[in-house]
Amino acid sequence: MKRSQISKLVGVVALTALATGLGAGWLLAQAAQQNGALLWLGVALILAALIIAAVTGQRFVRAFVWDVRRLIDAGRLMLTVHPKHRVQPIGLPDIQEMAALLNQFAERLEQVQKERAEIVRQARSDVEQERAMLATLLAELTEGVLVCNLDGQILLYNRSARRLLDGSPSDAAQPFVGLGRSVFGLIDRNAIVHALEQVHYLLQRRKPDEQAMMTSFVIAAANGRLLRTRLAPLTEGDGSLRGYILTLQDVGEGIERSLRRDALLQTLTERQRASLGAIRAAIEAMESYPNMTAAQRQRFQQVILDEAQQLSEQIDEMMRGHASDLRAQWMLEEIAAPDLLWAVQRRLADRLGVEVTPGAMDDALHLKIDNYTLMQGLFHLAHTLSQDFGVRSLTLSVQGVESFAAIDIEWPCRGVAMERWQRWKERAFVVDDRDGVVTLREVAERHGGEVWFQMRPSGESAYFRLLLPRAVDATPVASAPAKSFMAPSVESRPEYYDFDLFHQPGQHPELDRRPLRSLTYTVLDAETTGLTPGLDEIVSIGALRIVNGRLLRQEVFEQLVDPRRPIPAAATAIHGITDEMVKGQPTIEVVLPRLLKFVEDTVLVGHNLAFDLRMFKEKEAESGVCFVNPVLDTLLLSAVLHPEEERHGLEDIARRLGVQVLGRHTALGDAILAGEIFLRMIPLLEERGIYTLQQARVAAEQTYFARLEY
Amino acid sequence: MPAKVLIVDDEANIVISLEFLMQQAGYEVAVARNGEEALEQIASFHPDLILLDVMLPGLNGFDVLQRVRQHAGAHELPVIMLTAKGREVEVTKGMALGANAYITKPFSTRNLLDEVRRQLDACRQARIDEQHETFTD
Repeated sequence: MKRSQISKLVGVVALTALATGLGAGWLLAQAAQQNGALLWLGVALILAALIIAAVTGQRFVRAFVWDVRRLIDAGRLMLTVHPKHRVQPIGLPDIQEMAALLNQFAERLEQVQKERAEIVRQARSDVEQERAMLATLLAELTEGVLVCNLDGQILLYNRSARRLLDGSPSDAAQPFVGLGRSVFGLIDRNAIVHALEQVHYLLQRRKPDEQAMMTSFVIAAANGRLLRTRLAPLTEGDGSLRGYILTLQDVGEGIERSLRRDALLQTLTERQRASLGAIRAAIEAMESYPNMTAAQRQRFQQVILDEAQQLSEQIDEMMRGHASDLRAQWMLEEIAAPDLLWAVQRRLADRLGVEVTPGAMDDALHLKIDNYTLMQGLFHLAHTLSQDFGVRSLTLSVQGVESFAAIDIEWPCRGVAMERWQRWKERAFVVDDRDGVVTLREVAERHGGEVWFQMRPSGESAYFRLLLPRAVDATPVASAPAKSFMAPSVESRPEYYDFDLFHQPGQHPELDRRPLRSLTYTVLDAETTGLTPGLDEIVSIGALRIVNGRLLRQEVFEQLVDPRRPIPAAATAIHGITDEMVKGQPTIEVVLPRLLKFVEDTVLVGHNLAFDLRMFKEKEAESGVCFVNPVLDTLLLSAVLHPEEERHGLEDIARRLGVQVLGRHTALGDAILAGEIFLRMIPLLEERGIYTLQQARVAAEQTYFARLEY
Repeated sequence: MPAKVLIVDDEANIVISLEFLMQQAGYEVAVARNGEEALEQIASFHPDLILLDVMLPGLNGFDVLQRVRQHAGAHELPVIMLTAKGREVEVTKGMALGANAYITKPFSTRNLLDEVRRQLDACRQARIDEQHETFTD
């Protein structure tokens, strides 16, 4: 029997019952005028008719509205996020039959999905093996590795990179290493841009037999570590630049120690040379002139005594004074003279509009320089020449002088006061992102070189000469000792990568129009001393990130917070955090700035997040931190998805969506659960035509729960 | 007339020996303790040779050397750098700026005296040649 026929039949039954009841009632009411007893019979008949009509109608609604609705919801769940879900066969036989049919479809679908998953699994096993090998190799490397796209977003990093670049937990201003985060927060942008320019140049003049296209520089990372950084390009098939790989090595300690030793040795040598010079001259004078007067002899003996005494004092003083010498240090890399000339020429022309004519050039000459710092120094020099003295054209030459390489910057000039130029090399300029102020003379000195200004003998031009060490004959870098390959182990496994970020748009686009699937989220949760914002305090915060549809369990923020008040037993009973546990932990105004750094550039996700944000807002004045990120709340999204359900607790939703509940009531545990739930919600939202952040937010705002306020 | 030697050094102990040795060798000696004083002495004492230290208070030895070489007429004045700065790069810089010799401390007094004599002789010879050329012209 068709649904329309059933509904007609039910309608007819209900209406007939109603009409019969009403008709009989009316007849009886007429008759009741003669016989009072019939009145009650009539009333009873009318009531009976109304009850029959109501019951029939209710059954109709249940059978053909709610049961069907239930089937639709169940079908949607089975089709999308919860294939194991089954419909209870209740209601009319037809509905039951339909439910059984739906369950059969679900079985078949699950079976097909399993088969398909198995095929995919087999097909991908080779790839997985290779990935595991790559991951193991990366994990075992003591060098840090970062892979970035051209926007500077991190697509891959290993544990060493994280160790080298992450800040200390106590420092709120330190950035984090994480997938999708910007590398420029960790390493000076200018240094990377400069290195990319060089790589671009190398790619352009690449010879077929050349393999390695990398450039290296030493940079102070945001956390203060001195890192030797190598940049190698990642190219597309057509040779265009797609991204780059950075390898990082901590050279700070080693180089500082060795340079301190170097400086100590040099100073000791100079001062001792002076003292020894005086002693030797005195002795030789006495020897050469044995007939000198007693007074003269006494004078020379006194010189020898004084200088010997000074020598001892110098050694003691140097050992004390240089033990704490911690000035910033440089590390030198090799570069060919033509490459250096090109880089300088291009930079000065691009940035200053100064015309640079190549002068004398020794093509075979290699220099040992800190590329970035030297470039800053030369740029500063050219900038002052152009700004203060109107010099528009320079001649740049790089040639060998004795065992050094001389970089000469020359310009037409007559009769310049030499004092003015002498002062120049002492003028400070800012070199790095640590605001390290360095003069041109210091740049030269730290290269083990010298700088000076000189007029040409013709008197028609002047030049600055930087005398720098030549590189010893170029020898290939010794290859690392062969290391036997180790089988991937679970412990050394997790490397953190997401190459899909190659296809991400820029860092700060119009978020609202972006699809939910493509956004980067931070899921967060806070545990508190109670439920009253303003009175209660936060005792723990947990957060982790979702990038490209994956919950990144390695990149977590987990912090106990000292609430500066006792934690009620009722609260401890829920989250298990006691007064002892929070003793000595940072307070909220220390933790929130760090959390802000962790969540920057992401959409916040959480369950009943309005509560957590209200707690944060209470601390706005103390911490100076205001969270302005867009927000999606799983409580509201659940109400969007299942309006007919009454319960939208975290565990209720988890059960509905087939998410296993583990580790509840720790901040991080709840954040993880909310994250998994949110990921399962995305396809369900899409089924309802909700694809973008804006659409999700608008839908959430329209639910009843959104009107609750804290 | 004895040749004039200007000693420019701020370390008193080495000056004692240098002054004694130069006087014993028959030169007329003047001493400057810093760069500025050295420039004044050059103008008033008119030395035939300068023994110049690099590490001086105020203007350093390289600065003084550049001033000397900048002045026309002072090109022939021999300058011997006598310094504890003995790195190769400093020697190269000194020679590039126009020093006639670069001697690092500690030095042999005999070698120093030989070098002083050689430089003075060379300068005298150059002057004679110049006069001869002027005369023959």
